[in-house]
Amino acid sequence: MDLNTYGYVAAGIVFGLGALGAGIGNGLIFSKTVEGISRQPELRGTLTSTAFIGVGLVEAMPIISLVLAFMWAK
Amino acid sequence: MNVDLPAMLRRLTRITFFFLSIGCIGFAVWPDYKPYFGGFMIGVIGGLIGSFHLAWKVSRIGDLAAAGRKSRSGLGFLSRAAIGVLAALVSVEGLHFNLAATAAGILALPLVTLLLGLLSSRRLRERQSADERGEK
Repeated sequence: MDLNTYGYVAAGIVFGLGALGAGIGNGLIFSKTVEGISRQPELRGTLTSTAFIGVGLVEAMPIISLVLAFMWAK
Repeated sequence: MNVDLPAMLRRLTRITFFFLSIGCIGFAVWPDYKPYFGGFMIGVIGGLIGSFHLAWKVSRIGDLAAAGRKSRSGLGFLSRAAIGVLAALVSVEGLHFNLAATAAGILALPLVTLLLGLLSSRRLRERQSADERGEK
């Protein structure tokens, strides 16, 4: 394998691991949010804004890793 | 974190315009750093569009959960990732700005969201403790 191929493999690993972590994190956040809303629907606003903050942070890393992977693998 | 989603989006939009104004000033005043300021501005705009998309998805899932219905759609991560890649491509390939500055711009708004959430949480706690003391 030449150096470019290693670059593609590295980009795939970077994005794959980032997306794996984000998937687990988003699943945990939204399962608890939906559980909380179904228990207490009057807290919907608070719970959705908390979920928004959490998901925004969780998803920032894989998006950055995808951007960097695309740019470095080219 | 007792902040409504629309109020948080309004604050995010205001802070985005603040970042954009700083970027415009830097773009005009320091021509040597144009790639950095330009990349940051493009990244911030991409981050704001992603935040609006995420807020729409989160509120829709909240509505469905409150109504007790199941949703078959996802959270739209791929759409937001595509927005990030598009911002980076426009910035680096189209306008020849700096990639690291663009990535920093994409990451800036989630960090601002976290700070806003922490601040509103602290304010809420202070208000509740004042209520418990009977001051309000």
